[in-house]
Amino acid sequence: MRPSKELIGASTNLLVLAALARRPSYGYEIVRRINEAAGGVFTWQEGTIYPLLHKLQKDRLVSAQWREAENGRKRKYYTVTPRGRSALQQHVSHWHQFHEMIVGLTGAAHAVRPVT
Amino acid sequence: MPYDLSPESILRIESLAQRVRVSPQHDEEVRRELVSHLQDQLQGYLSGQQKVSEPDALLLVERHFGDTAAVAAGLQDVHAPAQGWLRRLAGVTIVTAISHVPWIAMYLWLGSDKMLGSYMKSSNGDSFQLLLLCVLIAWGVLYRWNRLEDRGRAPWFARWRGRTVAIVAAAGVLAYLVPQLILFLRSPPISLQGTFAALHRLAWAASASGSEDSYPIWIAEGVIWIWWLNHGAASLGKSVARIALAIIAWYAFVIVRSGGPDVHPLGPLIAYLLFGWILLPPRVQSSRLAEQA
Repeated sequence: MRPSKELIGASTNLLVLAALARRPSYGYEIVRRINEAAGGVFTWQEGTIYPLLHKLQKDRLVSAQWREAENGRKRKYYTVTPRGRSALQQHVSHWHQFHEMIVGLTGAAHAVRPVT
Repeated sequence: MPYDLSPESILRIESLAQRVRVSPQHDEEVRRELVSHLQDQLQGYLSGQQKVSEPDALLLVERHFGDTAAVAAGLQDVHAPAQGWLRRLAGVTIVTAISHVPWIAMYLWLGSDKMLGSYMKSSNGDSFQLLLLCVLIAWGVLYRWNRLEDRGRAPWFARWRGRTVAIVAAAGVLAYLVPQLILFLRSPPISLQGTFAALHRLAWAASASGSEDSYPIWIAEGVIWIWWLNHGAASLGKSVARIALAIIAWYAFVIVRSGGPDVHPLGPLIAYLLFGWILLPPRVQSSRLAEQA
C-alpha cells in the first residue's frame, strides 16, 4: 500500500538530509538512492528534489558546491552542514517518538475487545 | 560518457531544462543543474540492463522528471525575494491603484450624474456599492497574498524583480497624478473639449471616487493599508514604524488620487485601533519567521 502524499511530504526533508548525511551527493543520485531505499513503496518524480534541495540550502541545512565528476561533467554536490546534522537528529528523534506513540495507540486499540 | 549523447538529445535536454524559469539571477544556475541531472538520467537509461533507444530514453527522462511547471513554481517559492516593507508598500499601491479601475471606468462610461446623483451632491447607492466592492477586491487580493506567505509560498507579485515592482507602482501613482496635475495646474482651466478632454474627465473621475460621501470606504481602505504593512512586523517598534508609514503613504496616495485630502489621516488609525485587531488581526510572525526562529 502506498503511503499518503501528506506522509511523504512530511518526511521529505528527513529523507534528503539522511541521504546526504552519509556522503555529499548531487540531485540525480539523491533521488535514485531514495527511490531505491523506498523499494517501490513510493517513487519521487525526479524534478521535485530541486525545490527541496534549494530550500535546504537557503535554510543553511546543506551547502552546495560545483565539482567535476570522473566523467568530466560538472555536478552540483550538496553537503549536510552542522546545522543540517542537528536538524536531522531532531527529525529522527521526532519520528521515533511519533512511531512509539502510534505503536502504543494501535496496540491499545487492538487490546480492546467488543463486549459480548 | 555524456559525449556519447546525440546533438538532438542534448538540444532536447537543454530545451526541457529551460522550461524551468525561476528568476533572472537563478536561471543559469538552475539550468546547469537540471541539464546535468537530465544527462545523468538519460545516461542511466541508455546504460541500463534493459536496452532502450535514445529517443525512447528521452521520453522516459521527460516522464520521470515530472512537471516542469511544478518544479519551476517550487523553485520560485524558494527564491522569492523577502517581502520587506518597501515591497509591501509597492504592492498595496499597485493593488489600490488597480482596484479603482472599475469605478473610474463606470464613471467615464455613465457620466457623473448617474454615478454621483446630482453633480457631486451625494453619491448614489450603486456608486457607493461599487466603491465598496473595489476596496473589498483589494483586501481580498492582499489577504490571499498574506495567506500564501504564511504558508511559506510566494504570491506571484513577490516573484517580480525589485525594478519591475518599482516601475509598476510608480506607473500606478502617475496614472492618477498626471491627470490631476493637468486639471489643477493648468491656467486658465482647460475646456472639456479638445486634446485634454479625456484626461480632464479621468481626473474628475479619480477625484470623485475619493469624495467625502464615501468616507467610510476610505477609512476602510486606510485600515487595509495599515493591516497589510503591519503584517509580519517582528517587534512592537517595527509595528509602530510600519503603521506610521502606512498612514503617511496611504494619505499621500489619497491626495494624489483625489487631488486633495478628503479624509482625515488619523481616521484609519483610530478605526484600526478600535476594530482592526478584531477584524483583521496582524500576524506578528509569519511561518517563515517562525521557521527561522
